[in-house]
Amino acid sequence: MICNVTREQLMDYLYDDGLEVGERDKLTAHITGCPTCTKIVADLTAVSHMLRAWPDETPHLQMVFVEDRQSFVPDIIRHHPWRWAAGAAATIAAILVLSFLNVGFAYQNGMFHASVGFRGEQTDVVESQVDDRERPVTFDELVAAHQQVLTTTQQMIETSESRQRSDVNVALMRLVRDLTEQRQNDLQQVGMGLQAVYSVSQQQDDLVRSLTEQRQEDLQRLRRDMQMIYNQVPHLPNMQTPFLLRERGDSSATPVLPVRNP
Amino acid sequence: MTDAEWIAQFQAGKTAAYNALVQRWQGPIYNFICRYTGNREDARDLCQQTFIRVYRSLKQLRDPDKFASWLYQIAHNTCRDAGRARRLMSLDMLCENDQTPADLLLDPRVYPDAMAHDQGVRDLLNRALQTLPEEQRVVIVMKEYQGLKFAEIAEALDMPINTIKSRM
Repeated sequence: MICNVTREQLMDYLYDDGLEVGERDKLTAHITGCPTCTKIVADLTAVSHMLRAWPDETPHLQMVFVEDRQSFVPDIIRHHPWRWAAGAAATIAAILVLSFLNVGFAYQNGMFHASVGFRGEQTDVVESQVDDRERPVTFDELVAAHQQVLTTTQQMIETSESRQRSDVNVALMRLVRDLTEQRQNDLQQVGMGLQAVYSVSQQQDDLVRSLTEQRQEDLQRLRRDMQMIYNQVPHLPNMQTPFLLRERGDSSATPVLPVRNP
Repeated sequence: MTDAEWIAQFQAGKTAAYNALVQRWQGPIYNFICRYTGNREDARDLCQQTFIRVYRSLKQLRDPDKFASWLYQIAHNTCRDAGRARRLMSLDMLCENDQTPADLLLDPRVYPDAMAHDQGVRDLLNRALQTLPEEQRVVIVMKEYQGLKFAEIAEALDMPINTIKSRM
């Protein structure tokens, strides 16, 4: 660089980063009059503009950090370890002292006994009469109570079974009643269906009968007409004109030949 | 809330505060890594690794006001550790005759429609960046795209500030 402006200063100028007060104006004045610096700044500005043609992208990372698992160590240990240590030491000391004084509690013959004393000694200092409700239970009472429990349980079981039997009977009765009703309905439906079928069949029979009668009448009428025509045409004395009056599928039908009247 | 306030909450044991920081910074960090490595898939992986590293170290951060440069430092180190900063072919190789890389970017024949043009510009700029030495590329990306101050870049890269400026 010919002038005494450094590249670092030009960077500060270009990005307006780190310039002291008044320094930017001085640099502006210099760059305006210095072709070299003008070109450098112009090139860097062009590169900067070119680079910014690459826009930011939106990432789809979906990162979520969950809560840490809670520590079993109480907060007092983590945040106040010395306070916790002092409390623990006091507790241990108390246990040791009580142990040294040989303090003890016992339940014996229906009475609580509290004792205190140095090791090797045993001095009862407190005795308390136990409430009658808390006295030990005798064996006979235990057996009787057990028997009572068994009896009650047996009664409960029997009651439960009886109720279950009753429920089953009621359910069976309902089922039988429902099935009977269903059967009656079904029979009724079948009867109606048969009646409908019979009715249709009857109609069909009537129709067939009617058609048969109609056919017989038609045949008779045809035969009469043919006879009449044959009689009115005497110039065809020996015409053997078979009139096949065969029904479709009726192989037994025979041709009917006209009979010339004498 | 500021980054420092979120960090204070996180250091007091509230993990939800860290999620807020991630929400705020995942875009800039992803784009930084994307331009630095030149690969979107790598950028996604490295961005996640970066935030996991930050999660593990954030409780030891003593100066929350320098969180941004500290975060970029971790992102940069994550990329370097992964060794994924790659060099692609020189942009000059794509230019014809007297064409400059800038001309190539503005050449409408290459990318006829707008979307393809944007994608093409992105690809060419990506190639151009990847041709730079790694130590120069990271400075340019931090300055041009991330808008960091020279002092912040120097802090993130642990280098003198004049060295940073000379690499621009």
